[in-house]
Amino acid sequence: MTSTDLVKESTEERTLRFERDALAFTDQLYSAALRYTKNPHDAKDLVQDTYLKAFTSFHQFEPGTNLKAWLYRVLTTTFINSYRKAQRQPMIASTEIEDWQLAESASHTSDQGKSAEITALENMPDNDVKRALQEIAEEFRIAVYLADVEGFAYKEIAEIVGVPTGTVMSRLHRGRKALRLLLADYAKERGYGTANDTANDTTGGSEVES
Amino acid sequence: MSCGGIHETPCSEVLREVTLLLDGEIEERGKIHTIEHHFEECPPCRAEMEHERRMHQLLHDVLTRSCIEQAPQDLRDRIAAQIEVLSHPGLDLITEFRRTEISIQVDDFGQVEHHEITIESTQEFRFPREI
Repeated sequence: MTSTDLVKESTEERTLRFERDALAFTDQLYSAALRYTKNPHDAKDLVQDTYLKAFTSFHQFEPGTNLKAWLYRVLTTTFINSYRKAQRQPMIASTEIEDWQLAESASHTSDQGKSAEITALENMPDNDVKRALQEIAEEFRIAVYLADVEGFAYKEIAEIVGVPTGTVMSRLHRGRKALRLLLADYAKERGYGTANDTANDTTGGSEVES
Repeated sequence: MSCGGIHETPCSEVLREVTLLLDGEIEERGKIHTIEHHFEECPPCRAEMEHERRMHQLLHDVLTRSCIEQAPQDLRDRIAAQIEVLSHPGLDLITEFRRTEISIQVDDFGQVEHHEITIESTQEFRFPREI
């Protein structure tokens, strides 16, 4: 569709285009909203709000550009502005920009440590993964989610969240590190990081939902 | 930490770039080449990078598997109803409806008959907005 066509686009046509293109992301946005808000009730409200805002400003969206990133931006800013709960994490110190570079001038880890880390992750039950994600600070959680679940590039994440790329790198680095540490802890607690267990561990079954 | 060998690019410098490399965030071809060249001559760094690559992929797989959910039908319905209203600015949406009809009749013998009919509906009605 060319831009001349768009000028002529009727409200009805735009609605159809929205329903066809934007609503295709409902599952994805809901999944992200669940991780952002940590509960299904708020997640539903957040997604509904997101689509309300997206629909009313859909004429501003430039066709041919990244609709998914645009929707995530609406979702994320809506969340940051209105759903963030009172017990938010304290603001991140200004050192965050530099320390991703300093940290992890990584040593060569032992082979044993490496394979334990991999086994633990392979056997990790879904609920433990969700729990770990919920435990890390909001800023980190969002960055990790956008990068590692949705596969957004640093630059896209920077636009979605509204922070500089350097900040994204820092949050991503710290978030992944925190997540890996937590998952390693869970693995140790439950004893499935250590040896030749099989996948589909059931011990984590009923722990935490969403 | 270094592997002890002497390279054109120090190990520490290469290891610092591994995350960027795995995230596909290094655009300069020359830089990618330099790093890859280092991996060729430095097995410990290569092992480190391979491990990171594996962890990177695993973390992605595990997170995706755990986090991707289906939006509930009631959410889809709410969004569809919302779009319906927004795309017809002249229309309103009623999601609840309740009407009670009361009739009292007194017959010739002085008997009182009392009827009360309540109609309740959660259907959605659309009607032109009153101005």
